[in-house]
Amino acid sequence: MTNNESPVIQINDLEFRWKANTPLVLNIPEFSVSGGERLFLRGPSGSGKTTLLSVIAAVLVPQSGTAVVTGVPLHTLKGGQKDQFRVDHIGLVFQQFNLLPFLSVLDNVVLPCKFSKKRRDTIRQMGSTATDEAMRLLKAMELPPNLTNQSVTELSVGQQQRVAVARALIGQPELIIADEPTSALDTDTRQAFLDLLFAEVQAANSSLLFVSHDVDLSQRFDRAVDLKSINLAAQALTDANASDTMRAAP
Amino acid sequence: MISLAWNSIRNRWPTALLAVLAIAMSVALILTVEKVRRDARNSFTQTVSGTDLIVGARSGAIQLLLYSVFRIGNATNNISWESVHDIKERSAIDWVIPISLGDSHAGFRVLGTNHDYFTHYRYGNDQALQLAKGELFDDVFDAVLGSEVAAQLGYQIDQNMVVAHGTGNVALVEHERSPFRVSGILKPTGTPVDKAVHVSLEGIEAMHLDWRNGATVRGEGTSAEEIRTMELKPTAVTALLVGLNSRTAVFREQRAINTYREEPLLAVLPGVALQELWSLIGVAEKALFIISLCVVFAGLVNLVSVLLAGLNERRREMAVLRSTGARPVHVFLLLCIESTVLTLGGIILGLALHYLLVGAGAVFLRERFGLSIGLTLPDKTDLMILAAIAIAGLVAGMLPALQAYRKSLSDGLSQRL
Ligand SMILES: Nc1ncnc2c1ncn2[C@@H]1O[C@H](COP(=O)(O)OP(=O)(O)OP(=O)(O)O)[C@@H](O)[C@H]1O
Ligand SMILES: [Mg+2]
Repeated sequence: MTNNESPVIQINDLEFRWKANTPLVLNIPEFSVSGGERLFLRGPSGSGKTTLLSVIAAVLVPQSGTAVVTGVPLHTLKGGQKDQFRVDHIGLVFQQFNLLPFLSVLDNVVLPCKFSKKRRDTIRQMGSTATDEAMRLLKAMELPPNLTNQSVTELSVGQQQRVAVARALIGQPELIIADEPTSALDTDTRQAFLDLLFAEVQAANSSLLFVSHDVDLSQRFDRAVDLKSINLAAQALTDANASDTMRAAP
Repeated sequence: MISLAWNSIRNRWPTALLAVLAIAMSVALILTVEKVRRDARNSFTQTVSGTDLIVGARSGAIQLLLYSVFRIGNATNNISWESVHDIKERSAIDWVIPISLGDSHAGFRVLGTNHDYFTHYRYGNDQALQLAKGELFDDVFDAVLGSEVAAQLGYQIDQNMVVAHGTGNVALVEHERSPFRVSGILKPTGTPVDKAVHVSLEGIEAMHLDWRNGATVRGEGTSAEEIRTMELKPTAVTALLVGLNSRTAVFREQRAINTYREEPLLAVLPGVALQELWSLIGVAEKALFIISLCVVFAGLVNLVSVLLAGLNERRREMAVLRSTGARPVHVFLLLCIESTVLTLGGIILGLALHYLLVGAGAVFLRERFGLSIGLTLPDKTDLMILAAIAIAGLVAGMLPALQAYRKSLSDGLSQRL
């Protein structure tokens, strides 16, 4: 379990660009999220939020700098270790299309346990099984029990997002990363979704990194961060844009 | 992983089924073509064996082979009995089987010959003709039936039958006063022998007694009893099958017969003529093989296109899989397993289809052409073809899998459409 005093994410001097000879997308001197913290991250479209999340989830490798996530220095991971790290320590929720259409709701939720012994062990220590735990989470996410063996294609978008949260949470990973999970939901469903998410993140004692454009939601978090304030590359980008407009003016 | 792949295929079953069907068709086609080709050649080159020369009136080698062995078409001319006698007298010649064709019974050819036919005729791997029931012809009006004739017409031993002049399915005039009797039935051979009615040369003469003027006159016929007392001498035959004392003499004897002065004759080596005839058919056979190769190729292209088309919509799935701990290798494997399952499914279905085709086709081929094609386990060539298709399917499936692998590495966690 994450020690609440040590940070769950610690980033130093991180630089990332998609291809050589293109401008940096990320240039973050320092950024950290403490254990158990619920962080709201916002920023204009294209400012590199998803890119940052990919770096934290060890999907993308930065050109320089260090990122220590849940105590693991990511640069020490090789190949398959990154995938193992991801499934062991991080639960991910996307904007939409979170679920595999060829699996049932239940199988979708259980999926990370197939790849992660750590998550399986955690569930066993809780005295439960993967299926039972999945059922419990689905119930906690207020999904009707008769849906669990159905095909995911029959779910509404809101239901799909809640299934995705259940999957992210199963086996209690230390960090939940959600990339605009509410953007496909209406305002009321958004608040309800957040309620459920918070409750379960709390119960699992996980940290939450939540990306959204919806500033209304930010008050409910422990802390809200604008990517521009930590990412020098985004500042440079906006500055460049700004100077462009200045020059364009007569 | 395998259950994931399986579920994924199940979810896409309509396209998956199409891909499987396309492969199954191509597998069935190429196997069947291969088999027909092989069996036809075997059955074909084994219709006659042990015969060193086939002799007939001068025409084409293939024509002679066709009418004397396959009973297809007609001779343009006969061989006179004197010539037969001369040939038989040659010292190098061991035996001679006379064959007299030109009549039919219920659509089956009637073949006039003598007992030498049953003694010396060989087919397949030096197999002699054997009686299933009854005995060889003894009387002028005795007939020995090929197995197909007996089976199709439902004839039993001692049954009477009427033989007609001409070779059409419906004879113009039946030799009503030539009451033949079934004396024996041969065992099946898988050659045109099965489709022949064998009678003695005298029997053929008897059939034509009243036909000397080209038409029979009612009430003027000779009775069977009368005919039996007559001395019937064959005047001509259609072809001769010749066996030599020593095979080394074959070219000398062939030349001697081809340059025979009394009558223009033609002698051919059955092996050479069969080869020549087969090479005619071989063109069609090669074309068929090439076509079935194309069908296999089309089946594989279809498999790849099914997988590739699904790939774009599946990029999201790949991202989801990666987010839940699947490694790029898993993504790669998932697609490989899918294409393997589809290919294997296609191959298995194709095999089943192939046996169905062969089962149905064998009956047809035997009845129409006297070619025997049996249900056999896939042989080495077949297995090699199947292995080649399986490997091609795997390689073809790797293309989209590699694509997905690369994308799943470069996309990061962003979901791209
Ligand atoms: N797979 C990729 N290959 C190359 N460049 C990319 C790729 N994904 C994103 N980018 C670029 O990286 C920059 C940051 O993109 P990113 O997706 O991180 O933005 P974002 O802040 O998540 O935007 P949004 O709010 O619209 O989701 C953009 O300029 C984008 O064009
Ligand atoms: Mg984004």
